[in-house]
Amino acid sequence: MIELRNITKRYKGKEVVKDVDLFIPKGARVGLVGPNGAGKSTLMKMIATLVNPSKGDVLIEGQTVRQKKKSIRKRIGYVPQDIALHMNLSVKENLTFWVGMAPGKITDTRIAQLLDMVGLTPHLSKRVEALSGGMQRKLNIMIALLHNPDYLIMDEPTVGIDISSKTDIIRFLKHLDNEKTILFSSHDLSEIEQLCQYVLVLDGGALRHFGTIHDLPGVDPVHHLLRELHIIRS
Amino acid sequence: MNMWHIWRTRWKIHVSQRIQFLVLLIVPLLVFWGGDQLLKSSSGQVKIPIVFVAEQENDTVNLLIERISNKETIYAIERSKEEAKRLLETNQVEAAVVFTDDIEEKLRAGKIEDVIKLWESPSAISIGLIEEFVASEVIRLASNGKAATYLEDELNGEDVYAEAWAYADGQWEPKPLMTIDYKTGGEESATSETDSKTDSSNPSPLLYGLLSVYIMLISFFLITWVFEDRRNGVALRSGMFGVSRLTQLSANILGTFSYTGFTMIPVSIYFIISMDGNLERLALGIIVYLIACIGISFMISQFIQSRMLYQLVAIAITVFTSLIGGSFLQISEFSSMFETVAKYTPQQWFLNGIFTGEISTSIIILAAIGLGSMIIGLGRGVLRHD
Repeated sequence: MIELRNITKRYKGKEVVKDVDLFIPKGARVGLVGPNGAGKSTLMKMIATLVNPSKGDVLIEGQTVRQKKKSIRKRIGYVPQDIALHMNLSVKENLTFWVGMAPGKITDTRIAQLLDMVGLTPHLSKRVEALSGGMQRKLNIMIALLHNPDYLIMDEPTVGIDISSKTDIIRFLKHLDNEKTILFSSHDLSEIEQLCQYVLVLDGGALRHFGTIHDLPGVDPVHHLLRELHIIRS
Repeated sequence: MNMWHIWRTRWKIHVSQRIQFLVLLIVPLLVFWGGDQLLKSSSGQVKIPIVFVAEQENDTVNLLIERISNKETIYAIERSKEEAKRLLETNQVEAAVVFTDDIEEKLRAGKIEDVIKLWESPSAISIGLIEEFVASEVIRLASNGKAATYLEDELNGEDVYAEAWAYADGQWEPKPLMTIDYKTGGEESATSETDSKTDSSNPSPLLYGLLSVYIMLISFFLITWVFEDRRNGVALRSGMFGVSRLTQLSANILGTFSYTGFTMIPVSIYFIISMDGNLERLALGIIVYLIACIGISFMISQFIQSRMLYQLVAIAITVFTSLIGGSFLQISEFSSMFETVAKYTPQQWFLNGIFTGEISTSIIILAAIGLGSMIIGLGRGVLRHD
């Protein structure tokens, strides 16, 4: 479980995340939505221990990230918005690199299993730059899963790819272990509807809504709110 | 363990760009070899250009043209009066030597007044030297002519002119008349030091300057992985995998340093082969200068967010420090302020390090700058949140 206690983040005097207070139960799949500049990436980075809050605290399973950063990080898989891979290296070389960096031992069976799941086994020797956008995104997610984390935090992992690849990725994520807590940000509400039980709406750094996905769509005030924020069309 | 792993991957990334790798190995070598050849050949072609204008063709004029043209420092051509004027006006020649109509008769009589006109170009700087060359040959012919004419007169018109002229002329060989040998003096050690610097088999100082520019540019270029890792989230993700930012940055710097050093091997070998002695000094100079350049470029990359701005700063620093670094322009030609600044450029320390002392102060300063910059850059990098 993830607990956010009145966290605020200030950059150069400006509050990009304001007093967010939240509890995400273990195994929950949470979709994070909000317009550009709403503070989604910053919130995710704070949960992922990459950025310290200016005020408040983040707790993962009761442990504060300020004190237990190192041990908490081993349990988190983080997928950055950009493709955090070495484009000039092959899929295999990238895997070798990230396996070498990852905490704990990662078995060949685990790697082969993940490669099969994302469909990259036939492309092992290809350079990442030669893969399609969808393939690159799949590899990007796969690397976050190498060490089998309990928490998967994904910052717009499907941005800029075609619908077919998006569908593949959502299908793959749906088949992940149910015990994993997933935090998934996107501008595409249909993806969140397919994958998540909860939706979290941020606007101007403030939490505007957090509830089950069943509140969507059509049920006010969430639907109205999302329409107001231009997340869904009228 | 992580250090080695990241270092190895940085190498793989650099080498995976195969064309870039080959270009870094071969092109500098070709550039330096070509530059060296060009400088060697052009140094032999530094001559004073003059133009001859012969109002009347005769044996005397032809002989004068031949003898003056044969001077090592003279490059001579023969043109009409109009063309000579054009060449002078456009500063293509230093001077025009115009032979008058009656030069042959006057020289036979031993007269040297008004036999030659010398026209200068507006920017002539070696006119005195040209005057000396022309005058010496004219005097030679005039004295030959006067001696031969005198002898012919003394022998009541007997045909000895040609023989007497040739004999008199022979007195000017192998050295011109009135030449004396000067005894050279001065400290032996001072002379030998000068010789070691100006040995014609050594690469020109200009090439060392070019080498310093190249090393600085390539260091700035190869350190751009900082921006790439920051932009695509590799730096962030490495942190998530429990690798400290310090380890990550240090290993990458070592990777880039060793890779750049490796690509410098062919050029360094070329310089070492071309240079007589002081090989250790040159090798040490290159390594330490490389450390300084990598350190400076890394530090700057940690204080700048935009890659474009970094590239502009890199070019500005390279151009500025190279221009005032002493390889391309004489420091003594600068204003006192620039002269002071010039003494504190990495290029200046690099050149001093190569040319003076054993492990000179310059080398120590360069090493300190490199390591200091790296430490500042690492400190800043650890504090960054990207």
